Amino acid sequence: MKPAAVLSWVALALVLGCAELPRPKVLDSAAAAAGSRPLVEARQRAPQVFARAEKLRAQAEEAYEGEHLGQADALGEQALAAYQRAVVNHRVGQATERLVLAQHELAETQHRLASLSSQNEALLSEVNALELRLKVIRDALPLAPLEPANPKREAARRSASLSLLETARLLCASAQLLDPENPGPKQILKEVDSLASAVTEAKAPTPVDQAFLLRTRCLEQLTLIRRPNRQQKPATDPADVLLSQLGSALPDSAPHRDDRGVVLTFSELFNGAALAEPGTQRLGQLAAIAKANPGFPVLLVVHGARADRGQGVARAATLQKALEQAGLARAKVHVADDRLPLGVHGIKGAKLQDERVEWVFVAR
Amino acid sequence: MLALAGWVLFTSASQAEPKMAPRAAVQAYLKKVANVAPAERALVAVATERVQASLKKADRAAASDPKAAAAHEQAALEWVLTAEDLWRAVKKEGEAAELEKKLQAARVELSRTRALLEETQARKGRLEAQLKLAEAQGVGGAGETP
Repeated sequence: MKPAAVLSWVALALVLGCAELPRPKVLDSAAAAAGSRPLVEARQRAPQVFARAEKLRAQAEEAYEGEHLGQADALGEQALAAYQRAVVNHRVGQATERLVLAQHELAETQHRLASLSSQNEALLSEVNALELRLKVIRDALPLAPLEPANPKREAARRSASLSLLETARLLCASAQLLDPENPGPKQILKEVDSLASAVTEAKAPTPVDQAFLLRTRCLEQLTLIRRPNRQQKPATDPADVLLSQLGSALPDSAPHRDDRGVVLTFSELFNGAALAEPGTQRLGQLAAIAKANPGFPVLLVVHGARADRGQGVARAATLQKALEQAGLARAKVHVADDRLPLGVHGIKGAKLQDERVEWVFVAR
Repeated sequence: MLALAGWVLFTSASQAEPKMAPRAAVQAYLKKVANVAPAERALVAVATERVQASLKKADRAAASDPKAAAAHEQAALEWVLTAEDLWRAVKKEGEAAELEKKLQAARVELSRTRALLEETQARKGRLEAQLKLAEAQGVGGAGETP
C-alpha cells in the first residue's frame, strides 16, 4: 500500500472515531419546554413536579453522554411528559383556587342575601302596619254632611250603606272570633244593627257616612287585636303560608286574602238547604285543614237572595251542624243574604252568582 | 388563605411519582380512553399518541436494550398520568366556572334585594310622613266629600 493511501485510511478512521452520536430530538424538545412561558409560571406553583422533570431531563442528558441512546430517548420523553404534567397540574391548582374562592364568596353572598331578605321582610311588615293605620285614620276622618238626594240616588246610597254595614259586621265578627272577651266589637255590632234599621226605614238622607265610619271602627278593632302578634313576629305571616297551602290543595276555590284573613268561595255546596255530596266532601277537607291550623278561627258566610232568606237561614243551620260534627269549636256561621252581591241586579244569572258560601280562615 | 389550603391539599395528592406497574396501568388507560365520550378522547389525543409511540419503542427495545425498554414504559406511564391530570383539570375548571356563574347570579340577587330594601325604607319614610299629616288633619277635623 502506498503511503498516501495509508494516510487517507488513518484520516478517515480518526474522523469516524470522533463523530458525535445522533442526539435524540426529544432532548431538545424537553430543553425548549423547560424554558417555555407556561412552564415558568407552573414552576412557581408546582416546584416539586418541575424539579422531578428537571431531574429526568438531566438523567436523559447523562444517558446521552454515556452513549445510551435508547435510554436517553426514553428519559427525554419522560421528562417532556413530566413538564407537560407540571403545566396541567398548574391548571388544576388554578381551578381549585377559583373553586375554593367562589365557594367562600358564594357562602358569604348567600348569608348577606338571607340577612337583607329578612330585614326587608321585617320592614315590609312595618310598612303594611303603617298602611293599615293610615287607611284607618283616613277612613275615620270626618266627612262633609250629606244632603238629601233624588229617590234613585237615595236608593243607591241605601244599598251601599247596607253593604258597608254588612262588611262591618263581618269585620267585627272576625274580631270577636280572635278575642271573644273583648267588649269593643260587640258594642259596635249593636250600633251596626241600629243603623241598619234606620237605613231600611228609608229616611233621606241615607246615613252612608255613618255606615262607612262603623266599618272603619270594626277594621280598627281587628287591627288592634292583631297588633301585639304582628309586632312580636314581624317577619313571619302564617296567613301567607296558609294561603300558599290552600292554593295548592284547593286551586278551584280561588283562595285569596282580604281584611278578614284567607278566604275561599264555594257556589255548589248545597242542594236546596241540604249539603250536596261534593259539598260534604269539601267541608270535610276544609275542616281537616282548619284542625291542622288551630291559630285560625273559621267564619262561614252564607250569601243568597233576599227572597230566599229562609233558605239562607236553613243553610246556615246545616253548616253550623256540620262544623259541630267536625269538632271545630272556634267557628261561626253568618247569614249575609243579598247585602254583598257579586252580580249586577237585573242581569241574567246574577242570582246564581250571588248564591255562595265563603269560608274565611280569620288571620291573627 | 382558603385558596392556599386548597392548593396544599391539591399538591399533596398529585405530586407523587408513579409507583404502579407501568405496562398494566398503560393498558388500562388505553382501554378506558377507547370507551370515553369523543370530546373527552379528543382532549387527551396528543398524550394518547405519545403513550402509544412510547409503548412501540418499548416493544422494539425489549430484546436488545431491556433498560431502555423499561424507561420507555415509564415514559408511557408518565403520559398516562398527564392525560388523567388533564381530565381532572378540565373537570375542575368546569366546576369552577359553574360555581362562578352561581356566584354572579347571587350577586345580582343581592344587589336587587339591597335596592328593594332601600325602596321599602323610602316607602316607610313616606308613609310615616303621610301618617303624621293624616293625624294632624284628624285632630284639626278637615273634611272630605264622598
